[in-house]
Amino acid sequence: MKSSFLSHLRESTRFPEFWAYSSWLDIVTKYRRTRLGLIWVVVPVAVFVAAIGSIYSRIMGHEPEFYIPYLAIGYVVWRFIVQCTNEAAGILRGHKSFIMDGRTRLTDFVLRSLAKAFFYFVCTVVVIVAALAWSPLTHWWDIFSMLLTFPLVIVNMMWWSACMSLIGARHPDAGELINTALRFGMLLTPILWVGSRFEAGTLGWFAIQANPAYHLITFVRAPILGEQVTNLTYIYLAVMTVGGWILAYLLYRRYARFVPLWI
Amino acid sequence: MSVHIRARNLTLEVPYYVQPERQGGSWLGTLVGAATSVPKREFATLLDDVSFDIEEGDRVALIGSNGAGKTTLLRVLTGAFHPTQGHVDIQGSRQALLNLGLGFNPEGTLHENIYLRATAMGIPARTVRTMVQAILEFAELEHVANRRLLTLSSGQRMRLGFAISTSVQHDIMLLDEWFGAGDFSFVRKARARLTSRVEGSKIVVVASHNTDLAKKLCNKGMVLQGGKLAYMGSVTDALAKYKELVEEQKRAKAEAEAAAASASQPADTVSQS
Repeated sequence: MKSSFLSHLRESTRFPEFWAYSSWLDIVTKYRRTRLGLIWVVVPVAVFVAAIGSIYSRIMGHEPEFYIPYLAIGYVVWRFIVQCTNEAAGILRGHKSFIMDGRTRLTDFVLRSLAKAFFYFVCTVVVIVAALAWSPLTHWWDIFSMLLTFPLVIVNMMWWSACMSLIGARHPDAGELINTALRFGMLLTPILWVGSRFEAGTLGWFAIQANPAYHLITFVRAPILGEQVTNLTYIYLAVMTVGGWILAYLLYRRYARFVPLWI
Repeated sequence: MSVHIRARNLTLEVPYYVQPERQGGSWLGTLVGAATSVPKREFATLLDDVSFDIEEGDRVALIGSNGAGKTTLLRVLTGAFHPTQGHVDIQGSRQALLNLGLGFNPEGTLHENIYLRATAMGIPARTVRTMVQAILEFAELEHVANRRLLTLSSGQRMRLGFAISTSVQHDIMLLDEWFGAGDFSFVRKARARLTSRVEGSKIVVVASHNTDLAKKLCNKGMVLQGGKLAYMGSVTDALAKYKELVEEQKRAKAEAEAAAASASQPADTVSQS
């Protein structure tokens, strides 16, 4: 009885009831006691983009009309990546009782962590739309390019979350480690600053080009802002997507059966 | 297709972690030690070359002392643990009643939690809708259906978990100890349902220390000792065998103690002289 990532994933998407319902329940119950409810999902992002956007546009020397939509898109996509990672690292331990009862289709839990992050993402897209509508340089309907670009981010987060969930089940340290890394990652990735400030061939340029989050964010951000996506980004993402899925497939096949013992 | 469980040479080795032993010092030393010592990884064999056949109609009582491997074997049968060696072939739908009170969302209402647990069991949402009322009624919790779960007492939670887990009849039922929580009238009701589920199932495997119920509801017994299958046969024979094993162990322990005592005696006399 080998557990295959792909066949499990297929089964999980055919029977979405459990993971869809439980992630929804998680979100709803989290905000149930608050007065504003789900508005709390949007408020922190909106405040961040508005406040940091107006201050940093001056510090960085950009027009707010350019900088605020730039920041909004980058930050919202970045949050999605972070949330997927954080959720995934603890998800299997958090579902110990289900797994021990014999629900060993782990992709259910991986999809659950993704669904939760995706829900938050969808809510915060409002902030991007607002920023785009506010800026005279952009139109709010430019957001629709995301329908084409964002699925690639999700596809990448799928393999990434699957790997993270397995690693997180084996080593609880992984969650902490990744948390620390992501905190720096936000500053190292062109979200608050603009990546094109480094010339091609310099050290800074290489650091940016090696950063997977940069390519994912650029892939979503550039079309909305009417910028060109470079060939390098296309190649990087293609390699990462294929390589990542192979990695997830191999890890899952090798280690998924040990998860009940680890947790 | 016939419902059966066939296990061949099941062996399960698991890693476990031990905190390194320390000389018990001051209370401060203990606290610092607990925070800084790195656990060591070691391996334990929980199941050792276990083979058996369970056929349709069998109600098997797993008998053995604490730590003999009963729960581990159940977890292999639920599919949570994959055997390190050997294999197990299971035909039929399974339902495990191992931890009834877990897997809830404490912030959700009872209603929502019924959906959560039922969909986790693989029941389609459409079917769940028709089951909700019956589950609440059985658990005697209709009046609090829209309250948050955390407002319930642990006994009430157990009742809800039991009502959900036993709401569907499966081919194979796996139980860890007979259900016993809740107040008197509910325990009786639960026993009645459990008995009917046991009778409705094609195979039941139950780990239990309750010999009376085992005798009443089971026809077969499986004795585990130290991860090994010590005996499999009729339930009365299995219980007798288990008793014998326990007696034997007691005797062996007493003998070993006596031997140790007599071995240390001459040494003492030597040192005195």
